[in-house]
Amino acid sequence: MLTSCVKWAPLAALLAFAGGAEAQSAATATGPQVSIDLPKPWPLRHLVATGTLTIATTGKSAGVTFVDESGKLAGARIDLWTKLADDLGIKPDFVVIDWPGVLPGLAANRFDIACEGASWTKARLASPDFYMTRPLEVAINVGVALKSSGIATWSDAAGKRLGGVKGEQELKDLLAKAGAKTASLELPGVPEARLALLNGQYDVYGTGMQVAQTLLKGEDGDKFMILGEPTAVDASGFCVNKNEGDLAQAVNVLLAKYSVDGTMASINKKWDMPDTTANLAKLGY
Amino acid sequence: MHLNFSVWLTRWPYLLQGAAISLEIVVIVLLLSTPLAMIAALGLGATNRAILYPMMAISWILRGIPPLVILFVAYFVVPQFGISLTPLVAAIAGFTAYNTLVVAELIVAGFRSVDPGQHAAIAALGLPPFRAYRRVLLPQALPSIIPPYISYSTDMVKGTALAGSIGVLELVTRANQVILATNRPFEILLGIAALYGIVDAGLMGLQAAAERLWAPHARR
Repeated sequence: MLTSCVKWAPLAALLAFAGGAEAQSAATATGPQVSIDLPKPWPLRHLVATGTLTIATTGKSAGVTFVDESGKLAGARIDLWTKLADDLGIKPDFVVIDWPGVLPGLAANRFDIACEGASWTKARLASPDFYMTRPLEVAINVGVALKSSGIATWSDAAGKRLGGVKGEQELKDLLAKAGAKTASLELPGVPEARLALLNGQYDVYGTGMQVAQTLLKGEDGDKFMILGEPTAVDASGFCVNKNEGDLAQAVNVLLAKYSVDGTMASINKKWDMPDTTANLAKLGY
Repeated sequence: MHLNFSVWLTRWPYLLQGAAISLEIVVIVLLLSTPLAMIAALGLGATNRAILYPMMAISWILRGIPPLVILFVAYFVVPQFGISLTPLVAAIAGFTAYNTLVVAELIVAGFRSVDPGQHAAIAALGLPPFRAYRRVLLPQALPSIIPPYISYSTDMVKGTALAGSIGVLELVTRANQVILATNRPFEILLGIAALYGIVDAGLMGLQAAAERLWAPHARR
């Protein structure tokens, strides 16, 4: 059972709430210090493997989840998941799998948690196959084109070939923005999508701002450009196994804590990721 | 296009580990599926319809389904029945199921290629079935079985790339990860093509040696 309580740490603050004038003044100056007692380890009863947080990740998103020179998984989400597992009192176990296998694997009870940052959509929030956690970030989805293509605005993109990673919300947002029904090319991951765009096998790539910025900074980055107006701005979070409501609750509590205590900002800064905390507040998070 | 293969200087251990996993899958699958295929071949060559028809149905189903779907079933569907396999074990199980029936058909075809007169001779001599298979039929069937068997094994080496779809960090999956991290797709792809080429060259050499060994003139 999750046990939590709020401790009003300084005695002065306690007295202030009891009505002491001097103490009230002191409390107003510093504000009450609030802390929460969290269980450790959390009593998670439905993990796929006892004592282990089984995490599905694509390992194919630069800065977010990728393989470093030593052959180990690294990135902002890897750090965040590792921190989550540590605070839950269990060990992280990463399963690297392409995006098309992530949600089926979650539904098939192969993973406890997944999605580097899945967009909040009506279908996903209402899905019987998994829970979506509170948002981690405000996700800005964009279209990327080759500078040489002559496509600079969305009106230029009308009738052009659209593509991206199959199953990603970013691709669906691109199609919606361009008023197209189907994509010309759907690929398994970011590297393939980048290469196809570079080869001119389609004209506009629908992806997230983070990936787009990484493309621009990387090899041949000077050949790409981001179309001015985003395809969508939404919130994104993790996906949690449908059998593990207790895990979803624990993750939500910890994510809220991380956004307040600076953990999230610190991880984002380490990996040069944009901090969207202020924008998340607009959504009530 | 400017190629810079220096990316391999730092990434080769990670990629070679992937090649080792791919080879591990091939070796284990062949070790498991070959004896199973021999048993399945007996069923597929049976004259008893109660054995033959179910075996034909199993063969039709497993050979008709794409290996990728079999892998998905092994990794995503089988756990619904309480059996949870790791990605590597699920891949080995899936490939073994598929491979067993494919190789069984090769074996059956090999035995069918033996002159029917040999069966009559065996009957006339009153040879026991096991001895007849080992001393008469198998030596004549092997030249028809071995080349396609090794050729199919060559295909299997390349087919291991499918295991990446269920989370096995084999060679192609690792190559994709390195491509993402380095943005050097051509250097990595050419490198892993060379690795596959080396492994397949070994198998093709084996096939050539086997063909020489079992060639009709060599058996005289």
